[in-house]
Amino acid sequence: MTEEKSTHSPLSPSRFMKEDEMAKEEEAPRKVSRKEFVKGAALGAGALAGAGALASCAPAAAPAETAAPCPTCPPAEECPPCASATPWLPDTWDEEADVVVIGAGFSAQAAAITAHDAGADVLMLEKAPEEFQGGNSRVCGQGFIAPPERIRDEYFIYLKALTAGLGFPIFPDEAESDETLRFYIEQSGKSVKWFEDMGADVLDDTEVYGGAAHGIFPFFPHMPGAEAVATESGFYVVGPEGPGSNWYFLEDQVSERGIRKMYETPVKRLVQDPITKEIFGVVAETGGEEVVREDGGRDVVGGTEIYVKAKRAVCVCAGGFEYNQQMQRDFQAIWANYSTGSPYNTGETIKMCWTAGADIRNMGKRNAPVCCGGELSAGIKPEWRASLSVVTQSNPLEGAGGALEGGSILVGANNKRFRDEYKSWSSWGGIQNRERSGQEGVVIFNGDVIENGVYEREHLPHPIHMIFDEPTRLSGPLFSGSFVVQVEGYQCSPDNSAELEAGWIIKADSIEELATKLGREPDPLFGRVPLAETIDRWNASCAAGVDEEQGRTKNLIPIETPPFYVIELFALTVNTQGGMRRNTKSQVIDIEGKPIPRLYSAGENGDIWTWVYQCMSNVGGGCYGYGRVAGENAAAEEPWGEA
Amino acid sequence: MTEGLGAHETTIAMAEAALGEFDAGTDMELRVTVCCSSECSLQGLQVIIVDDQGAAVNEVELAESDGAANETGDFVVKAPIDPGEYTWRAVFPAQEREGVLHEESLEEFSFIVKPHATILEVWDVPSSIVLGGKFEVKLGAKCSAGCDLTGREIEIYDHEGARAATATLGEVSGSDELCCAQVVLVAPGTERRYRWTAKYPEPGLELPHEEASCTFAFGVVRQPEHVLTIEVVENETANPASDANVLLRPHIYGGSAYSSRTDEAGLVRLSVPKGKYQLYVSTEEREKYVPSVNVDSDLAIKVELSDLRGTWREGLVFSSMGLQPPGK
Repeated sequence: MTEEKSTHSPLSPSRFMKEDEMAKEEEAPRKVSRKEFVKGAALGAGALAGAGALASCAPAAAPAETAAPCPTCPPAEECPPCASATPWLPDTWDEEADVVVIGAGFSAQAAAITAHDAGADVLMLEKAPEEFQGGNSRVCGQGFIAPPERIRDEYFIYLKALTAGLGFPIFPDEAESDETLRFYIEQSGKSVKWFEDMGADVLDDTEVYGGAAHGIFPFFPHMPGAEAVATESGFYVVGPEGPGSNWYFLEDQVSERGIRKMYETPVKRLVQDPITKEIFGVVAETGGEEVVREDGGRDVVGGTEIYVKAKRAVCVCAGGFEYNQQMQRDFQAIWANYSTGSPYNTGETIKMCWTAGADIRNMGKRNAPVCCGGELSAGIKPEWRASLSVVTQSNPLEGAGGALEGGSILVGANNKRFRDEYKSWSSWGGIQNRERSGQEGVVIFNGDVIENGVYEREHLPHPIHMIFDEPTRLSGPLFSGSFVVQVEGYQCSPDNSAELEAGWIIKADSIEELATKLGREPDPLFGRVPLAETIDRWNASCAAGVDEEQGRTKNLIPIETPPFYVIELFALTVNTQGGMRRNTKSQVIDIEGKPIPRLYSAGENGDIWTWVYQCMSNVGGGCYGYGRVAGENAAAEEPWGEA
Repeated sequence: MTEGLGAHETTIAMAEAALGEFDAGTDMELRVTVCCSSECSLQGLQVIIVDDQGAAVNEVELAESDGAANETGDFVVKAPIDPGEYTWRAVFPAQEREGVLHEESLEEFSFIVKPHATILEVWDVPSSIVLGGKFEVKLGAKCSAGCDLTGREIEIYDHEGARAATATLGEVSGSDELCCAQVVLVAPGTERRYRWTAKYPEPGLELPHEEASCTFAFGVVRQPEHVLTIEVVENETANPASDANVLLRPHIYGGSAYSSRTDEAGLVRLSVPKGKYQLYVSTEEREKYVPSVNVDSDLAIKVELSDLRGTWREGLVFSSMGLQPPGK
């Protein structure tokens, strides 16, 4: 149920009720439906005075006459419907449901299933075509944390520390509220039973990875409360284990319940009372055509506009803005940042809610912003919808083998190396990798670095270029991705020859030729050195066994066997965390801190993760937890517009 | 007090409090203890169980006595047929023993009578059924009080609440003592998943039974057009991998995935509609994920379990940590 009731204002429809109804209204304000208004229960002229919305159907009355009926108005039953009274409502609706859920990922599935089971008629609106539906949820790792009750106090301490920015005094005000964290933990803990009650075979991490998750979690072992996460927190996935297992199970649940879904139906705006901000439905487009945006993300345009009535509520579960590069620049101050998740996550529903008065949060935060471990993004290629990732590191662990066997370096636009290519990138693994790989003094979290006690923002040139030679090209497949592999079916050729043929890799017989093909001629004005000079310096470091320039200690392998190759790379992220602010009822909150009536949200948009991200946590809490609560509360709303 | 007789006070108690719940019409096992204030033996005297209408439902002799306490031993009384809450009385009526009048004592005891619970199960439901095709499921029912349900009907309702079929329960069989039946159903004509309901309505038996229901789900898929033969071999040795899990999912979510296990020769054959699929083969320690398998004719593919279990997740979890899944 919504917490707030409509504010009585001069333009409120309640001005047009009978005096006795107005008296009751003062005791218990209620929303007046359009149907009630059209019935013309008592359209006294006095009540109409000063009501700008109805100025066209009522003469102005002197203040002394505000209580008197309008002598020129026809009887109520003869008064035609006054469409201008609620211009935000359409004359007719094209579709309707009790609860409209926007999206098709985990949070949307959770909201839809829960709302349906509470007795609501649910309609899901998905932007992507059916084949490509599911958002990031369908292609993520599927695992989720469900902390048992006995460690929830410790887990609370741990999450408090993470959302407070590792406790550094420079982020004193960032910690998530206690109420929200407790809610998050409690809801995460309920997720196992939720699946089991639906008949799922929930697999414990020990069954899936032989307990490996317990070996690598928590991601931040130095944080208070981390020990409990390491030893006792539950990590789960729904069986049968495999790509997308949780998402497919939940999709089975959606299908078995007969929940309606419309694909290629992006939602454009909310149908909303501009005064009370109450949401009555959405405007969407259906039957349109999929297009590639200028930034490579995916849109569906040119469809027929439809008005979808949400008799009880709307749940916005449409993910983040990973594929909206302008929003990346505006909010995250990063030139180009790609995810290997769903290319349909372009953030328009966040903007839509923002326009509707929603407060937004965490827009500058993202999960693993620089890259995921050893991978960077190769951007979006014409043949595929989603971004590809490229391995840039072999495994840093001694003797563990790795994905990249051979010499390679990363250079910026000045043809210079800018970091130890094997230094840990990810906010996930900053501390873990420090411990396990012997790197000292580095703590990395969402784009910022505290190295040896000094806080600085990691500088990431754009674009980045990986330079390598023939043995490296032949060592194994370099390209991968989540959505592009699991949904689109991409597989990298074992020796990258197909990718070379497609132009994803530039080839040259010499480093000089490579530089020419890159357009990277030396330019002292911009500090651009000859690329060959950088390669020679690297090869000399390999021969000496010491990288004095960047301090790299891993894979000191020279780049010396032609042909030579280069791949253009960009920052890679898992997902964005920004979106609408919401309370623990999953209600979207406006800038005054009040719930927007009948508007709910769940999922990665507006989730709690700020400076660091404990893996598997978006899923259990932000998606399943907030999703279930959104569905439950949306279904419990009283329908509007019914007499 | 009768003139000329001495009188002793008595107390009566349910030796084991008759609290709790009983299935309607079933035996309630009781035991009553009566004590004399002077520790007389009351062996042979009677205790009466009186129902809430004041009628005597049982009269039991105090069969055991150790002087201080006199017990009836275990005896049974039939629980009422009508479900509800009841308060009865155990009464030791005033009785004479050896010239002494032992005074009356009584104790109330309460219990709840419930309708018999029915367990209803459905099994052997095919995971995927062809559009409009017939399929068979097995049903079984059992009464919590052991009533014979032979001949009773189970009703099957489809996803829209319409009755799709009925099944008649046979005789009790199996170690789980279910009355079983088989029923043939017809799959709907749209490719998606469905959830139907088996119901055991109040059968009109003499004793009240709760209604029972059980849902079962299945996927409806298009008519198979081709046979996909998958040969799974072990890493490095290339030996057949038997008993490997094979999971084949259509790229466009449909009514069902296709799952099976390889045979001794490492083979599995799946009849599937034309289309694009993703294939995931796994054993306890190894796996192979093939993101795209195009089936537009009969097709045979060989899959080598070249990766450690969980490799498909590497880019999402492990490589971000710079770690490998266990065992590497």
